[in-house]
Amino acid sequence: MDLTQVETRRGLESFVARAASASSAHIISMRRLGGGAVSENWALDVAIQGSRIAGEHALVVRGDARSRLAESLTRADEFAVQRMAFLEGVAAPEPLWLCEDTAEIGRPFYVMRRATGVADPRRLAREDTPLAGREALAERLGEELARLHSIAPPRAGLDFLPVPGCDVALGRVAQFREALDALQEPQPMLEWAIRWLETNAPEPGPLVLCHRDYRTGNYLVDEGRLSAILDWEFAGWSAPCEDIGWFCARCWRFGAVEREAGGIGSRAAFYNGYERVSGRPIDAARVPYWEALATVRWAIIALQQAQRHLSGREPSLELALTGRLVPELELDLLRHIEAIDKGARPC
Amino acid sequence: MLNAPDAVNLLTIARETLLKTILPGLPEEKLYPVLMIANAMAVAAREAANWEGARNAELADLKAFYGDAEAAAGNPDERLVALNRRLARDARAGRFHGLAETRFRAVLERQVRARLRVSNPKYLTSLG
Repeated sequence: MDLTQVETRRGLESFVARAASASSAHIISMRRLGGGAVSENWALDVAIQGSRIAGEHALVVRGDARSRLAESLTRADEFAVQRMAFLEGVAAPEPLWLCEDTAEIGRPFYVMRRATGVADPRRLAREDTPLAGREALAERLGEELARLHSIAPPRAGLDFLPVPGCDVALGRVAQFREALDALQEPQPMLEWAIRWLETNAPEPGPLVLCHRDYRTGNYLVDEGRLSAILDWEFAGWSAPCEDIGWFCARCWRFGAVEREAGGIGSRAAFYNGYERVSGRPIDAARVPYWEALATVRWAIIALQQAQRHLSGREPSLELALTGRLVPELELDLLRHIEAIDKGARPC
Repeated sequence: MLNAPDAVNLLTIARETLLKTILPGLPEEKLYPVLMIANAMAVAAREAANWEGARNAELADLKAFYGDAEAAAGNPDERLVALNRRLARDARAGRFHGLAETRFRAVLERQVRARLRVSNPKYLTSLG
């Protein structure tokens, strides 16, 4: 998806004009946004004429990257999930128009409103925000997650999302093993951790709509405040604790390990926000299990990213180095699981 | 055959040159790729410095863990893969209990630490 090509720009302009029932749409400026190994995002400023939304609009075009991860949603499904979250009052950027016709710009894409702020997780984890600001941000992130988790199956408009057939944790165990079987190198450490996840799986509970990549790096913070939750392509029905464990796992704290909620605030603040909006207490004793599951999941994704590079299909230094993150995650796992087994509260 | 400067030396000086002479003049959007390049060179230099010693230590550890004839067949690289495959299979099947599990976890920890000494030694020291 290269919006610097004249033809692609024209295709996009004519799509926006049609979608907005406008007489014309003109791209004033655009730039590629960072991040997104499985999708490409471009910031666009567009002038729309002859429409009830005539005027200048700050938008984002989100389309497929060169290759996709097996577990990611199609653009159309991601659009529907993000729209549902937006309509439920979750701070997702408002998705406007979907285009599945690859004739327009070569790939399926959708257009959403552009939120402002910083997503860079290292900057957010390091940023010298006063404690009250951090705690308020962690609390707000808990509230937003609870709002998302109020959506439960069956839900009209989301019937394309598969409802897990068995319990979620054991389903993940099966998926992890399948993923490891598809890779060449044996992974004894991850196999051990997956076995532990299997033997310690919690009782199945209710399913809710989970983001499944809810972590620092996937939301925007503008002047200390949450402005938008991004990257909805892994969403699905799951156990609420899967999102909570993913958010709090040590591997997503970006060096600020003492701030257990995503490297930005305290776990207590995050939990408080969640519990206030959901009206349900978080089963805090179960979260460490889901943090272990999160760490295994990230390690497997890292191995898959390295494989994208190694296969020769997508040579990339970033993907190559991602493979070298795995031992850090493995050491985290070893310590985390040992702490749980000893009855200590892992952090 | 003497082939000096060797791989470690070349990678080290190349990385130093990159960081000292190229990095300071770069615009901000190029910093991240250059720091990734420097990181990849550092990992490669550490691996080149001791890959044989690390492989032999891991092999000896796994042979001692299993302590049977199967653990001794083939050339070192093949044996290492075969033993790790066996370890992975046994881990999946949950074959280790009690003392065997304790020994197994110790093998895993040594493996992970050896890999971290190559890919991110700072992570090890930060954990103590």
